Amino acid sequence: VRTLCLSPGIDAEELEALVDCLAHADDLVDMEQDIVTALWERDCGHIDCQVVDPFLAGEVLGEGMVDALRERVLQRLEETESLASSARTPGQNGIGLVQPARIDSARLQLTPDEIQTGEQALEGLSSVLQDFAEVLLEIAGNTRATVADDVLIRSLTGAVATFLDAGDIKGASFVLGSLERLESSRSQWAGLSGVITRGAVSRDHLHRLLREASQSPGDEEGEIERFLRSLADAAAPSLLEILAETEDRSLRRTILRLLGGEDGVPWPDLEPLLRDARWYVVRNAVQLAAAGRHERLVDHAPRLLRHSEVQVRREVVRALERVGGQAATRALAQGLSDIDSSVRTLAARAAGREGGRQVEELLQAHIEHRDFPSLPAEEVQAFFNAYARVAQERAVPLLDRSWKKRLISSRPAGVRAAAVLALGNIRGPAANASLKEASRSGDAQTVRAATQAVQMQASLASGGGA
Amino acid sequence: MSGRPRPARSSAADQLLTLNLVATIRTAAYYDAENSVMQQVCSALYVHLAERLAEQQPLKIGVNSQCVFIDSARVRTSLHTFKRFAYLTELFAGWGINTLTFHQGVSEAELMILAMIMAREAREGPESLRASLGHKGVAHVEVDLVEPGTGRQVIAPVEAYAAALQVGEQLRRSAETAEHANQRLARHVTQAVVDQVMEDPASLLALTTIKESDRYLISHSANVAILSVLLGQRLGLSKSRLGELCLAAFLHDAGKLEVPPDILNKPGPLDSGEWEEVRTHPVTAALALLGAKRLTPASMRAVVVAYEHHLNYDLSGYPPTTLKDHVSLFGNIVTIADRYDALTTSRPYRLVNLTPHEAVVYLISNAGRYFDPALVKLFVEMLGFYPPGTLVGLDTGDIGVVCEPPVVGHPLDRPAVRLLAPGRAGEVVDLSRQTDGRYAFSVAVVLNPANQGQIPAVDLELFNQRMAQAVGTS
Repeated sequence: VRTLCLSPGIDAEELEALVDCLAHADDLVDMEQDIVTALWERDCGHIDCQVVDPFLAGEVLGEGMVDALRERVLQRLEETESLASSARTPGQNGIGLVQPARIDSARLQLTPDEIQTGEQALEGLSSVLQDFAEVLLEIAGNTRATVADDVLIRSLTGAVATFLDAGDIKGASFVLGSLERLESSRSQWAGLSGVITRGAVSRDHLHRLLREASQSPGDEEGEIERFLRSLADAAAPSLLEILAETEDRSLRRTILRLLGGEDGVPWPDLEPLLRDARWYVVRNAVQLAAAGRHERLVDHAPRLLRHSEVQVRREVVRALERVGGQAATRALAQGLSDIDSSVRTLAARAAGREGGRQVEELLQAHIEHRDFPSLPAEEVQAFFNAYARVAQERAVPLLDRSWKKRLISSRPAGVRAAAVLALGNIRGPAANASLKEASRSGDAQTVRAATQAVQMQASLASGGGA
Repeated sequence: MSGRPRPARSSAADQLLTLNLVATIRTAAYYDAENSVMQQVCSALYVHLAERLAEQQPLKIGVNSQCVFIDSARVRTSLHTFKRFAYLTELFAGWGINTLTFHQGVSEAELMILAMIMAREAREGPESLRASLGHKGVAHVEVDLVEPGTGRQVIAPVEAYAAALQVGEQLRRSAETAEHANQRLARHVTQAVVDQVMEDPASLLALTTIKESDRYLISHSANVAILSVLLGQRLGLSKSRLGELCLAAFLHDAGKLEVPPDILNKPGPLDSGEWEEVRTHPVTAALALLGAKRLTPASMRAVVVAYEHHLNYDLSGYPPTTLKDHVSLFGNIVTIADRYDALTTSRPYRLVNLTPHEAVVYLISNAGRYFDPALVKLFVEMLGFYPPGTLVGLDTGDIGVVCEPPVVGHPLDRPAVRLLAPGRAGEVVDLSRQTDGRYAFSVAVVLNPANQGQIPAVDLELFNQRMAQAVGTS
């Protein structure tokens, strides 16, 4: 800008606009804009700027250009005048004759519908992004362009990002959905939607969408969640980062819901989080590993089952049960001797379903330990049940001993009832005999437990669960 | 930044006030002050003005660059209101004024007198208006005069047009059209074009008729930009939207730079391979324009327009589409401007080129099929039935070139014609002028000089203006 000219009549709004443009001049460069354009667009009637640009400064505008224009005009006028003067009547000597067409002026009046449609089109001008995105998708779909076409990828990424900046989920979904369809019909675009999603969806976008998803009620929540779910695969790393960093529990729950789908999170994205210093990050990662049934979690189980935070250890036990298999069961055994009762209880329940000789021995040793009767009732029942399920008829002697009264140091009534109840998991003559005896024991709690156990047996026999 | 607090007001309120003023003055041309219709419209104007003056005073209604301003805010026109706004701009120009300032205390009677004077008295300049108002006791309305050049950077239309050609050349030579400096130049030159269209549309329209066949692509781009902005202005687009439209139109044919010149300039029909090559240019242009690092509304519109400019209104044309269900507004505008300029420019593959009149007929015939019918109507209304550059034979036997389209509201077959005949050469006759209730001149026949379709409508005076300004600024 060479000069700024402020005319009489300038008001505060115009001065504010000017100062605003000047103050943000540096930002304009980043936006590939310039201050002349910014001032011009502000359209201040009392501010004029003279620009240094070569084409506007008279001395730099190519004189040849103006001369050529003048010459062209003169030449055409001379030619025409020469033709006109030598022709006695129009239509001769190179001057063609055209009879004017009859045009009905009345038919050129805009109709009320046209005015309304036109006004609507003008209002719609603010949404250039949809037209732009459609053009990009048309180009992607109808040309030989491939995923290597950097400029197209960059533009599609920019379009999706701009939709999300404006909070337009429908627009972003439209582009990403179209890209997925394109991927399935054209092999050269394989992986396209993932590339675009990773490039376009920033952590800020995800943060905002997650907040909306966890706060907005009704249908909108469904729409945002559906959109987030569609992004989950490609945006998993970012979601995991947010999961690790946010202290907002509702946000964490939303993310876990999104990522805990059947497809799960790829193992390479999860593994680093298993070593995170924050216990809840590790717990969430374990939870997601379980959702994805990642067997490699078992390799980390020994270490994770020594984690100082009990919530992590509990989650590991749950995860190992969900992952399943012999290796997971072996790892679960470690949980049976955890220092925390809740972990041991969970491990026992899981072990009871998985079984195995090693587990059987561990369960038996645990039950035979002298401190066993003093453990919480829930844990006691879990271990009895697990042992009964794993060892079946082999478990009857120990369970039988456990419920029967002794002369010296008889077990508490609750423990004895738990042992009777566990017999309900076993089908066989020894278990039946023990239960029959228990039902005749005369001890009200034991008799009630025996009745329940018999019902459990009947349920097992008919194919029901315990 | 702190400033005097201003009452918030809507652009709709500004529009209403403008329309009230127009209605009062137009009615005053036909009815006396005692007439009840006249009193009603004047009363409505008074109520609106009084409301506004209660919020803020004084209040200025002005005209600048064919636009109406209230205070410093441009009042948006629309398809619906364009002709009434055009009436006001013409009225102000006729009186040689640019602003009416209304002070608190203005009465209904003063507004009535103002309307009567402006509508009925001979427009003998701002001083006579000022004197009439003073003489009739109008104390609360002030008249500001037009002071050409005061505080404004003046660029001659020729300068803006030549700059557009020059930047077009630069872009053509540069392999990287996305280069930042080039983009900036293109933006600035299109801003200058928009300014000129708003300031002096007739001159710029005339410049589009020069038709530089030696550098067809460049002059075609500049012409399409100008014609598009003129149509956009007629639609009521804001200045920044006009800037976006101008840039998009200027760059619409960027893809043709990739098409070999021997195909573009082939003096005969193209074979199928050559056609295929030509048909790629919208996509090529769109991809070239995608180079901008950051998406802005302007850059996105340029891409859309480049892609769509050979798509017809009914989505026929090329490239083939699968997703789109309509062509964008800017796409439709540029398509009309592009087709009109191409039809009226002499090309090596045509032995006989269409006259501008025939091109207009072609647009009308294909409205609703190739072209948006409402935009065609506006385009024809803007250019008239005999657009600038049309060589016409008049019923007086004179020959002349149409140099200006009809004034808004006048019959579309009544443009201004610059005579070529010896003796009267250079004289401009207004075909809407009547004597004794009859038109003095009418078009009898359209002429096609050397089968080139048209001739330049430029007044050579435009070049002299530019030289005078160059001397003045040096």
